[in-house]
Amino acid sequence: MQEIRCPWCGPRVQTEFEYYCDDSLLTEVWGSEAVQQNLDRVFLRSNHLGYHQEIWQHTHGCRGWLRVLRHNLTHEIKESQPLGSNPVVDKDGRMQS
Amino acid sequence: MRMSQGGLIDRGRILNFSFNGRSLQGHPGDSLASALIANGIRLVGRSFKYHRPRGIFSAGSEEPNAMLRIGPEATAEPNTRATQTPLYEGLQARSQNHWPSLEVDLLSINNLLSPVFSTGFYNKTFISPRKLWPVYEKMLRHIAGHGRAPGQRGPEQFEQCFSHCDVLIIGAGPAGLAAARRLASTDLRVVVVDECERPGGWLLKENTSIDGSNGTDWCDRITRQLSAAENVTLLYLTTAFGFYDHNLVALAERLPSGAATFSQRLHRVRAKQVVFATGSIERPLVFANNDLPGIMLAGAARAYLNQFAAKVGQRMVIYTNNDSAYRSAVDLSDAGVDVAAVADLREAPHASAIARLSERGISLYKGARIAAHGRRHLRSVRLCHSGSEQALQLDCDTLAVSGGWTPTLHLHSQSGGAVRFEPQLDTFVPGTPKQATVAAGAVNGLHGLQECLDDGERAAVTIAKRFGLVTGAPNGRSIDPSNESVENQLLFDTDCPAVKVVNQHKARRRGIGASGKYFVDFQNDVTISDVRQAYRESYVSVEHLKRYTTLGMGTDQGKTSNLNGLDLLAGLREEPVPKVGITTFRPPYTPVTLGLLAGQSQGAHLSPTRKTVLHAKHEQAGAVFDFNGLWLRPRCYLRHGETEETAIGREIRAVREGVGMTDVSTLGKFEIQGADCAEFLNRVYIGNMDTLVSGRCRYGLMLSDDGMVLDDGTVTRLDQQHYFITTSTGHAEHVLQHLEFLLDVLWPELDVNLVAVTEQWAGVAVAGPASRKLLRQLAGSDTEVLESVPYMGYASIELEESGQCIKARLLRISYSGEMAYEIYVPAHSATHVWELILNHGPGFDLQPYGMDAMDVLRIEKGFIVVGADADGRTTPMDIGMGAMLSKTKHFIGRHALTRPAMHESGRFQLVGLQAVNYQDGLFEGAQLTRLAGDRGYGASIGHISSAGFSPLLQRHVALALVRDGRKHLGQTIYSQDPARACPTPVGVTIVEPCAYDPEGARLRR
Amino acid sequence: MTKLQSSIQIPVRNTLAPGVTLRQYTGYSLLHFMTRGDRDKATELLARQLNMSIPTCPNTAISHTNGMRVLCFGDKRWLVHAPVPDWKLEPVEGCAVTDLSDSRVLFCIKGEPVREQLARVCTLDLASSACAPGGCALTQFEQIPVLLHVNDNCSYDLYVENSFSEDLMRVLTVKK
Repeated sequence: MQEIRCPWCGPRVQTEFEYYCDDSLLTEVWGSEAVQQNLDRVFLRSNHLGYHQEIWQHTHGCRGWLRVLRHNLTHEIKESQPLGSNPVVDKDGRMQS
Repeated sequence: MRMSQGGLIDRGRILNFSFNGRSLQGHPGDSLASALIANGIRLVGRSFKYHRPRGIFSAGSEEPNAMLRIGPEATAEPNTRATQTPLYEGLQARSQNHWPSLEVDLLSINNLLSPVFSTGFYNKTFISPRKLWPVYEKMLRHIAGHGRAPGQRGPEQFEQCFSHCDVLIIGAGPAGLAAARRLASTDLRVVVVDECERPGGWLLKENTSIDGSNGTDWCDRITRQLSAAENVTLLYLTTAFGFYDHNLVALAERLPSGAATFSQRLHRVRAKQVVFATGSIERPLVFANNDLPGIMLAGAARAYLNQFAAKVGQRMVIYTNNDSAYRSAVDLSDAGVDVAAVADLREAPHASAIARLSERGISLYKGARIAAHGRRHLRSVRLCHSGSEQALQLDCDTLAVSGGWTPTLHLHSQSGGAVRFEPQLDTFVPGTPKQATVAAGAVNGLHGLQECLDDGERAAVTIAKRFGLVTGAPNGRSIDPSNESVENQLLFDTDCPAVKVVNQHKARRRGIGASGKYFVDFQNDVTISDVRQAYRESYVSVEHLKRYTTLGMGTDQGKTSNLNGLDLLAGLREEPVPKVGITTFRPPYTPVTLGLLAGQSQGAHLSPTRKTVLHAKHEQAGAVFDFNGLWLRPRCYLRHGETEETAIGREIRAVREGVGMTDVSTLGKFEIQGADCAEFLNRVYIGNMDTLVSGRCRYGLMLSDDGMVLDDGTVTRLDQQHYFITTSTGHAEHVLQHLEFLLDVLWPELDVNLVAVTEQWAGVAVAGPASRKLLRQLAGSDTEVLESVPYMGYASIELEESGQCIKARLLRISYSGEMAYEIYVPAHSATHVWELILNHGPGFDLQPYGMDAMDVLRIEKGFIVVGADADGRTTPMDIGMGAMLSKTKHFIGRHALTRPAMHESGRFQLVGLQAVNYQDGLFEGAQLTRLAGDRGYGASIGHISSAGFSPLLQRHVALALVRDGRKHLGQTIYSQDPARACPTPVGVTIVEPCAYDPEGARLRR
Repeated sequence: MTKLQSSIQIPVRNTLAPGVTLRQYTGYSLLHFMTRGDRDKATELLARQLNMSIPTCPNTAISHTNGMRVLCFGDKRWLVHAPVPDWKLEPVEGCAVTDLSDSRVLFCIKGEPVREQLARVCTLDLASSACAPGGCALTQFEQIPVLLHVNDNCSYDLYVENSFSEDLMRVLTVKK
């Protein structure tokens, strides 16, 4: 069982959280008429081996939302931040601030 | 045979136990294996495939042979290692895998048929003729498998707990104890676990001396100190069986629980740092007939002597490629066993090792190769050696073998740590750790006691540094450097490296009678020829070798076989061992019962059960319950003498003709407040919600961003900036998360405060033509308010009864298609409201109705259930709600609905079905086809998504998703459900979904 | 016209480990208070109304000797616990108040071995500073959502939703 650090509650067991979606879903602009762009955002995303920016919710805790930078093979969690901060990360997980 | 003195057993007490019905005795401190050895029992089982006689091979969890059934017959646990079972009073043990008896096993005919049962035979035999497969299967089920599962549930209790600590030390041998002692002086929370009944690791099995006292005394002293320390917890008989993500370690603790049964506790420990002081396991040698009873690991032979005062035999030969086995010669000879000889594969053993032999007059044969001989047990050993051309025969009943030591890497490897091949030791040692761990002691390939103690201290210092602490030497005493003595050294320096195991079987076998089987894996009966055969058949990768031969796949996980098999393969491939690699280590390290993993989550308690606040009322009314997700809800209410079918029919009639009441508390409910609520609702639902006025409610359909129906429910405007939302029971959690994501992540700028109030408000639906008349009796001074509530309207009212009042939210909405009201009250008042309504019921023939009746009522009306009739592939157009889609605003899912495929023909559309023959049944899940007959059925064109029997229409009603259904109204198709209720095709006509009151006149009265 | 008093009573099973007691409390009010706007402004207004300080960090709570308790259980979300039934909060500008008094059942579990008892189902590190007295945490016991409030080292208040309350009782008590 992985341990994820909720920004509000501290480190908690993974079963208290639910993975919701990939970070790329946050780029939506409400009401925009760029239909294809919006559909691509819904259906297309990279599933590379490596670090992903994942959106999790602390559903069985404070119900807060966090962005977790996690390696999908080793499960190493590099970072977990409350949604609101905006790190940009490349495919190798290198952060560019 | 038991020695008259020595050992760590309590000779003052006697424990009675039985083996295969024979009464025997042992002492506290014995393991079952040591007690059997002390009683002279040499034959303890039959091997898996060939049913060869087997004896106890080791003294630890690596045991491949001594797998017994322990406990009373009805609840006996099979495949339990005798070496890991502490002896207790009344223990009943039985051997396994033989018929009719252990001594006379007719299935040993398999041994003669071994050419048939060679490796890979699973994949090659019993294939044809296919007709015979049922015969083969029956036969295979009898002969395959090892051990028999008990028929009854045993009395064992399983507990679980979650623990946290700063440092978890796995292994309480010298390195583990040294590390613990060092860390005890800090403030860190330390937990030490060991799989044995008492701490000490190899200190218990060897004659050693530390700080002037013998190893076991030192160990006792340290353990007492540790027990007294507040920050240290010691757990024995506790196996760390799995290492998981982020330093989570699973421990299986066995606890004595009064009577002769052990209970177990599962610990899930999150440790900030973990020390692997897991030791090493002795490696066997491979030679002809190396599985005979009487052949065991050299370390085990002296462990039984030193720890349990049990002599493993009368006359012993030792066969080894390293110095550690010489200790067996010394210890056993000093105890009075006739050690006939040491046969060493090497040409030049260490001088001090040789000296100890000559002191005792034990012959040494260098450059030796042996073959074992005997039938039911070892009788003699024939060997050739470099000192003579002649082979010679040594009669003996025990052969102690040692091929070196293999570090116990399993947990380190499970944690993701790398492994490194150490050529001088001819084995793998832990490499770079992946998680917050450190390895210490024999697991690092260290074989001197001083080295191990130092390594444990070093690990403690490293760990302390990671916490930013400095450890002082505990009690001012450090471990005496004068522990360097010959006594304390398992292996000496590497001038005389241990000879590679694989070579020894290939050597010339001059007259030693070396035909027979050379076992690599004892538990699964895998021999050298099996490995060679796999290689010949091109299974050359180590992963294929494992799976094709089943080497290392037994419950011992290849602890005594993996490395030898790997060595062999490397030899065949002519590559170095590290190039061949090792297979993945997976938990559990030793077998774990499923009961331990399940804990209390068994049967009905696999998931939590949710009950509404009206549950007791339903029970009183005779409800039959069923699960709707986690909720326990009434299916129907049985009156005396009724069947469920009659009850449901009665309830449906009540609602259509009189009045019924049902518990709708399980619906998801939210309250939203704020200035932007209308805008938010507009974005979420497909219909225009901003036109909803206070005091009105509206049906709402919401989509996910792929355009498919997510949920349906109602939106009620309580006030200008205050709304009350309901969702379906099954999707409440999902919708909550969806809305929270929108508000907290995507649209934080919207002033909308969302609170889940599912449990705050209980709900009762009162439905039927007489519903308003009934509620008039309760409305008291609010009667006018009640009368004026329009269809799809809302009012806040107070229900009155003998001077007491309950505030309620009254919604006039209907799921049944009759005039209906949903009354929501704060949960703690719900039972009063239920009583209140019931008390006024008799005058109107009020009846409670359950889920099954509710289902038929809504199917008659063509109302959907999201999840059944809208299954995630269904758009609003597919279910006939295309007209609800707003044309003036953007909402979630709108873009996805513009895709061409959403409007093409061939989509599954919601329709009703009516059987051509009124008596025919329609069942949920049945497949629909265009054809039925001798020509076959063709492709499925849809399925029945909801169905039930309507007593009013006197036939089955159903909703279905049919390809292009709306274009084919009036046509006949076929429904069938061969696996369940409906084996022959039934003709059905496609009709409109609503079968009853399509204008909805009854709703609006 | 008197307001109907009612509550849910969960029968307590008497099979706890020795030394541990479990009691249900009734007759209290629980109000949900949240804002989408400025946190400091909201806490100031609430503090003024309640006449006590308000915790701003999630997973902390402040209790007053008169029995009032404010738990901060999420970012800009609070639960106000009043020791009397039917207690009301005045509307606060820019904030939303929702009555949740009927939604939960409140248990108090205490005794010397209570931590060991809870460790069977609680994944939190009860000995850590996060679970020091005055702390609170939303977590789950065997998939049952629970709001835990640490009264002191040997006593914990557990707020659980009505529908799970019976199951929580089963999960907390030892089966022997």
